Amino acid sequence: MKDMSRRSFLKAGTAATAALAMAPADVLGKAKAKKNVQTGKIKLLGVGVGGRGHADINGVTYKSKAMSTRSSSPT
Amino acid sequence: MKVYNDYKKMYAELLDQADAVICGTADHTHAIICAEALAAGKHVYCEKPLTRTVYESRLLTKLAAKAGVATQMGNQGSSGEGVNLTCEWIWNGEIGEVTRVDAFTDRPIWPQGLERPTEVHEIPSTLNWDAFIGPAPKRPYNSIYHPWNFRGWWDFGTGALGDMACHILHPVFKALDLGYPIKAEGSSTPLMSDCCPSAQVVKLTYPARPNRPKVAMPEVVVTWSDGGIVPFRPEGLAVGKNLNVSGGGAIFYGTKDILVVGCYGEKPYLVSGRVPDAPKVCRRVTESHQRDWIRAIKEIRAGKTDWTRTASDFSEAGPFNEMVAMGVVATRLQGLNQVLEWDGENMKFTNIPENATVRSMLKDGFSIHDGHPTFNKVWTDPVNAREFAAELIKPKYQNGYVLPDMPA
Repeated sequence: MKDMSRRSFLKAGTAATAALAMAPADVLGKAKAKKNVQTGKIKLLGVGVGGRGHADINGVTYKSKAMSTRSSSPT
Repeated sequence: MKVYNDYKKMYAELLDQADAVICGTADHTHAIICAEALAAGKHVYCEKPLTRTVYESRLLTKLAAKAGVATQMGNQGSSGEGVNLTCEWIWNGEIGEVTRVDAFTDRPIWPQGLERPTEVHEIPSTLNWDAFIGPAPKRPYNSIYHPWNFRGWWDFGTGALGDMACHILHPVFKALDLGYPIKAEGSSTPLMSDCCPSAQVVKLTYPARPNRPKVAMPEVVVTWSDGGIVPFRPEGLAVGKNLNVSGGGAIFYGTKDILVVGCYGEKPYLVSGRVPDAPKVCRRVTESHQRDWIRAIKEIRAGKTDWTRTASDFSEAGPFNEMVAMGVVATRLQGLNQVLEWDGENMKFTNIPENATVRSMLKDGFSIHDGHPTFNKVWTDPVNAREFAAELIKPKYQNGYVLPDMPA
């Protein structure tokens, strides 16, 4: 195990397993402060993030639908 | 961000602190990675196919139901307009009762029909080969398996079915309210012991389902073909019209009309040329398929009890993936020369004779000597078909990997 920046991780590529702490902007701070209600970041683990897994992580962070469902070469 | 090359280490250190898991590994490790996450109560997004085998799909279906978390299989077309329209047209009775569907893909896009390599390659320094093998039987590394090609090998993948059937059969499964099949039959180019065939045809029969308000759901036969085998054209289809849209398509034969759709149910049309105007009863997903999963997680975290499920929630993706996995089983049991009868509830074939055996090809062995052909096929020893089928349905995990128990 070693620490990596997101950028160097994405360059490393092959057969990796990653732990990401993500904060999509609209996840933060919107849930009302009720009892038993969780707020804040969704802590995400990615397993197998070389190809499709990488695209899925991008899909989680970007809102554009075009990126994930209108690919001319479906995978 | 921390990076590991073995999910087990990452889970041991971080799973309890995590909220959610995205799994994009080779087919054969989806089940264990997702099952452990679900058993720990985590939200899960898993690439298609959901699992390699029928039992593993059933397990994830039940674990997800028990956990009450947000799940999504990565068949991203399920969040698209095509699947919605296909369902709405059929449910509105636009083509009448559907008794036959022919579906296909032009894939695989990785090499299949291969003999097991004898050469051993050096394991790349960036690859943890033991972690890749996971619960599968160990074998020496060869670059034909990984990267990229693993889905063409039985131990790691599901061939073109696990790839494109997860997109192309999804509108079929959903629009026709399919559950478990009752019959299965497969046929393919030479059935190799280790590698998926270059092309295959699979026929699955589903029993009648409860009627919809505007259309009955009688017994239906779904035929799948891949590797370049395109279904015969429906009568009335315009000359020159290519059935392949984005990698394949499906043809629904109804009592009133014929519906043709592409991959993901894209670009649906009726062969009659009539354009239906059915009520839009399906939810439209406005963000990405992945973001819709995040939406579901947020609804659950906000304490919403009537949270909206994703378009490929495991409650649907699990049973649907069993359809895909059953196609693989039907192909691998084609040597029995029988229509297989399936008891879906109990995950068992009911009509394989007790002493029946199956074998598959190790080497094709064809060669030409002095202009003359020599046939020298090498086969595996015959094995008991019931035991072989049971292993295809529920694989024996190796190397210390153990799936969580099936919830009651």
